[in-house]
Amino acid sequence: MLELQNVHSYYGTSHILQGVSFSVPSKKCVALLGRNGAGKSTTIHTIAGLLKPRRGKIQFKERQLNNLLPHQISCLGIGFVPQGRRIFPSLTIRENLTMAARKNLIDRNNNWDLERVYELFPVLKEREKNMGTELSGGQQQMLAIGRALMTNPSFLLMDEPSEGLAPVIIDQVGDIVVKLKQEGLSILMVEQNISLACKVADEILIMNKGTIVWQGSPDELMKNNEIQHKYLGV
Amino acid sequence: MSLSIFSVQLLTGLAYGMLYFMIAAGLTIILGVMNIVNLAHGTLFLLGSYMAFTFMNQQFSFWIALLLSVAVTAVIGIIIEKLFIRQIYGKELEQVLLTFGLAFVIADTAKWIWGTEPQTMAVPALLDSSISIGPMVFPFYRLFVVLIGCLLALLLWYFESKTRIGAIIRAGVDDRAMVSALGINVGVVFTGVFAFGAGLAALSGVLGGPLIGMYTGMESDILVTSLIVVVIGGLGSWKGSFIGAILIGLIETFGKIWFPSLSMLIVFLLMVVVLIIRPQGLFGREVA
Repeated sequence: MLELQNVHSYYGTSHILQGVSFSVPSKKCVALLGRNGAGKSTTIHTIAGLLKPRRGKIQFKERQLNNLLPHQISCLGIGFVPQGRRIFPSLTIRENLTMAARKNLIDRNNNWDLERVYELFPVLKEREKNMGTELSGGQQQMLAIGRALMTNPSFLLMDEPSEGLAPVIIDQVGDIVVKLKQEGLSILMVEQNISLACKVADEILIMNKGTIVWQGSPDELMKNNEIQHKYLGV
Repeated sequence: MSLSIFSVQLLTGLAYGMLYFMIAAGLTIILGVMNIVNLAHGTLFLLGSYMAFTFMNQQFSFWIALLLSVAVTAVIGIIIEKLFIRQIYGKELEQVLLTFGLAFVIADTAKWIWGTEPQTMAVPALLDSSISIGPMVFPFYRLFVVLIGCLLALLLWYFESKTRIGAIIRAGVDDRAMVSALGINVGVVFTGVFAFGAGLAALSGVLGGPLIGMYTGMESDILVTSLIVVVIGGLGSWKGSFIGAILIGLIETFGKIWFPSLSMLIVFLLMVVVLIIRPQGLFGREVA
């Protein structure tokens, strides 16, 4: 569904992504692991169009994304749940959701709207008039996911959804990710939390110094202490 | 100071405040959403007022001239944004230089077309009288400007806080990149905001015509004052601009009477005090 071929990205003059290649199949969840500074978030930003790749090819459903703007990429069906949630502080919870609303033109029977997001996250409905940033970290994460769902994506980019959350909340986030996958979404998730990644992902990628250095199933990663130690510092 | 002078001055201060509000509202939202200090904003005010002057000389009524100038200036805003500013998105320094250059070009073009002689604009006949309450006198036209300013503030408040586009604009002030990553074409939002700001500047220019007239160098006077309003009110805040503009209008007007040689100094002092106590402005949000 999503395919990267030899993608190179720079921040200014620093060469961050140094030939990244991988693909995410339809209706699967792929987790991207690695140490801080390995290039995980840069990968997500490059796919979302927030950073232009200098070389290589990014393809989504036969469309090349390289030269598209972020809003065009979003309109192709790629939802973005950013690191640190990036909830709009000047907007209420309801507004954070409605400002992103876009009808599902491909599959009309599977439309995400305010009602359906509230069904998935009842706490957001209870507090819809509060400002977005008045929520707890876990609730903000739900809002960020809900906001991305309002754009009716077929693919979700999630950047460290567990960051800064208590273990019990991380489990909830994991349950949500599994549920979204069952709803037919494909997911690329960047994570620091190995156990969350292994719980929800179908496939694990490990990044180091701007390239993919290991690829395998969650079971294989759990058994491979050497890889865990070498690239994840476990 | 007699009550009659006081009442006129109070109304004058408020009317000037409303003019500052109209121009600062555009300036602050362009700054908040697009991160551009539009130094050509004062010339859009000038252009609006000169164009209305010409339309009125062509026997159009004040009201038609007002609508035409606002519309034409908004279109000029669209052209400026699409033709120039769009080419250098994200390069803030270049954009400042560009708008600075445009300010010169527009101001000199205005000099070329309308000359350097100061011009005056008649108060529209409909509003050319005043109402007296006891010893106090209130000229209708100033009351009208204050009324329009308050209505505009109300309208902006509604637009900003109750509509989806308003929410998108506020979100744009918070985090532009995130807005575009959610599928919203920020370019269209930018063009709209810029045209809207240009139209407001022209509105201010036309309404200010009968009060201030038109003169060379007016664009920089008005730009400096509006920038102060923006700084005092807080970036991207219409509410802040409204309060800040009224403050400045009143201080300037009464300052001119009580401390004629110090009136501009007092305005700057107010800005310094606000900056010391609340660097983000009265209604600006704190910068993380």
